[in-house]
This record gives sequence, C-alpha cells and structure tokens, in this order.
Amino acid sequence: MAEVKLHGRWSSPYVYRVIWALKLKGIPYEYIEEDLFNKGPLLLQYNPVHKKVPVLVHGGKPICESMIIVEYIEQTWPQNPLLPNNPYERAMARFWVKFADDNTDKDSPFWLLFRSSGEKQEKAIKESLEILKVVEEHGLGEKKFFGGDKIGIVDIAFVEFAYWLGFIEEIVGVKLLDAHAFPRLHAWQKNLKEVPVIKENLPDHGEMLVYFKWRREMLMASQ
Amino acid sequence: MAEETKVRLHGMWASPFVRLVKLTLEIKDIQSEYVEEDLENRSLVLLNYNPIHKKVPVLVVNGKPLVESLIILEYIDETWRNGPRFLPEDPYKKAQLRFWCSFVHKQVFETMMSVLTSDGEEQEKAAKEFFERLSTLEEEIKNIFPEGIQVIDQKNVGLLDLVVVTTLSHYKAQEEYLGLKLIDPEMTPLLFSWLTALLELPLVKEALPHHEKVVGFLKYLRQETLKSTSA
Repeated sequence: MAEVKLHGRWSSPYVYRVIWALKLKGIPYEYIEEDLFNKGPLLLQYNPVHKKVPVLVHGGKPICESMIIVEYIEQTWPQNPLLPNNPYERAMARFWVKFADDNTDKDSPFWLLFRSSGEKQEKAIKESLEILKVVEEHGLGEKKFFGGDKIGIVDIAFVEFAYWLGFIEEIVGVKLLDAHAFPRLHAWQKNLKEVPVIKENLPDHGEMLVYFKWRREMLMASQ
Repeated sequence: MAEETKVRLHGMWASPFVRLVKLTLEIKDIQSEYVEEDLENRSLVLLNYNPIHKKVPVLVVNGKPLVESLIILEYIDETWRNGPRFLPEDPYKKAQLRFWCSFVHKQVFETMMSVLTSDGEEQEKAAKEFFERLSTLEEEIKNIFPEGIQVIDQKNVGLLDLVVVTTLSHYKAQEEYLGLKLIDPEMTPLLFSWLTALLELPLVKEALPHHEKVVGFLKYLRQETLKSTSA
C-alpha cells in the first residue's frame, strides 16, 4: 500500500477529523507536526492555495480540506464505511457535513464568542445556541450518533462540539451545551468520547486548557 | 431510474446555485418541473422543504427534498447514470474537483458578490480580493488544461465547467453596469477563454437572461445592500 502521511497540528479539530477517519478504518499513517508560525516548505508546496493543515499525502499526492480528505479516505478504504449506502441518505449526511463546516469554523459564533466580550459576545452566544438547537432537533434527533448506531461522517464533521467547545466554555466561563437545554447533544458528546478510537485520539486535556487560556489572554490583550 | 420519478426544482433565476442544478437536469435529460420562488415571499412548500436555511435550490425527488447545489449535483450524478458523468471515479481526481468547485462557490463567488454590492473604496478593496481569487483559479486552469482550452461539448462537460459557467455567466452585463472589468482577458486569459467557450454551449446560451434583466436585478441587489449598510 502506498505511504500515507498526515501533516497536522496537535490542537486542530480539523486534523482530528482526519485522524479519526484513519483510525476508524485502521489505516497506518505517519504524522508530521507543522508549526503554523513556521510552515514547512512541504506544506506550502502541498497546499499552496490555503497553506493550512490538515493535508493528507497518499503516495506522494496531496489532498487538502478536512472533509474532502475524509471523503477521499472513505472512497479509497471502504472498510468500516462512514457514509450510508443509499444515495439520498448520503446527500442528507453531506448536508450536515456542510452545515458543520459552515457553522463551526473560525468565523462561526462559537469562535466569535471566544474572541470577544461584552455585547458582541452576547450576540455570539445567542447565535451559538440557535445553531445548537438546529443540530439537536433536526440533525441528531433520536439517534445515538449522527451516523445511527455507529459513528459516521457527520459525527466526525461535528468534531468541534465533541471536544473543542468544552474548552471554549471553560475558558470563557459560559455553558452552551447544557444537559437540560440540549439533552441529546449532551448524551452524544458523552457517547462519542466513550468510543475507544475517539477516547484514545484526543489532544491532551491539560495542554488544551493551557493553550486555550493563553489564546484567550492574547485576544483580550490585543483589544 | 424508474419512469415515474417525480422531480421538481424550486429556484430563483438569478441564483448561480439554482442555474447549476437546472443546467445539470437539462444535460442529463431528466424530466422535471421548475418552480420560480419569489424570495421576498417564499412559498410555504419551500419553507417546508428547507426549514433550516429557507434557501433555493431545493430539488424534490419523489417528495424528498435535497438542498445545497453541489450535494444535489453529486446525488444526480450517482442516481442518473446516463449522459456525461460529472464526477470522476478516481478518488484523487474527485477530491481535487471537490476542492476547486468549493473554491469557486465560496472564495470566488463571495468576493464577486462583495464587488457587485459595494462602491467606492470598499468596492476597490473587494475587487482586489476578487482578482486574487481569479488569479489562483487561473493558475489551476494551467493544470486542468495543460494544452490550452479545448472545444467543450455538452457530452463531455464536467462539474467544474458547470460550476464556473453558472457562477460567472452574467459577468458581461454586470461589467457594463458597474463600469469595471470582472473577467479581464489580459489579467486572466485562460479563464476568459474557458468561460467564453462554456458560454457557447447551446443549453447555457439559451438560458442566458436578457441584459436588462441582469442589470435590473443587480440594481435591486445594490439598493438593498447599500441601503442596509448605510442605515
């Protein structure tokens, strides 16, 4: 089998989307940590358009954008499928993948509330709660995972809610994904972190706290 | 696919995302109904089918709604296997294609909209960003068409061809109204040739609205945006 390499960063949720997909399918790979303040020449060569991680390199060929990488992995290594068989259900899954991408990225209310304070933050909190409501009611519904009984591509797409949101909440001091307001999503968070592959593949909790605290201080200082 | 498949597209003529789906249905020769939505007065049907975003396009297949144009395209491609296949089977080529389609729909379209709905200094700034995105696309075209732009046929048209032409097809009328070049043959010669070739496709040509209609809509868009930003 051709070599698989993943260029990533230890704290990036997007990188973890790819790690989970690789681990769930049992695909061996080499991991290369990239310093985003000092990007390696290979990274710039592999991702000239966005210059970002993650980049998956398979047999020397680079693939960029976390969910595009996950779809590539899904098609190339079909064991333990992450997408449903049925074309309509596949389209529904892809809708939620796009929703996750569009609503949890760095410009989303979740990160805006992390980067702001006062009125701006209030507004971001409100919008974050609205997004959580949509996902709870329309996305997850009565299912254990977004993928049904097993983890699927949509669970992977909502990586931010699985773990990163908790750090935003803790550092900023606001509870968003509350067990009362969002019982299903709250249960999902718990269930997801109990899956061995996920549990064993999360960035260190202590290190994340330090990192998030530092970032928040930097952001507040520059305002 | 069964003969009795009922396909209905809810759309709005000015949306490139709707145009993309409409064109795909025509190229694949899929019998469908089209419902023009008034976005000031969305039909209850639309709100029912797309409660989350309340946007077009919505493709309803046998009563089941599908949203997001690129997702709809992949569904159509997987389900109706006649005619040209818009997505390659090869996973690497597919990944590249998805990357560039998303680039045009997001980075190119969004910066273009900023140019169309702003003026003065803001428009200059927006235009600079837009041209940077087009330059990036121009570089990639060299990889896609290493021997230059060939004749494009309705039978061998691919997904990126469709995404590019539907996103940029109204550029001439927009240029004339705004008094600034959007697709400059000197700045982005390959993109210009490619777009020109694509605009010659019979199904694309037929569907091009009149100059006045495009200008009318642009005027309306600018009114709405500039009104709300100066409020």
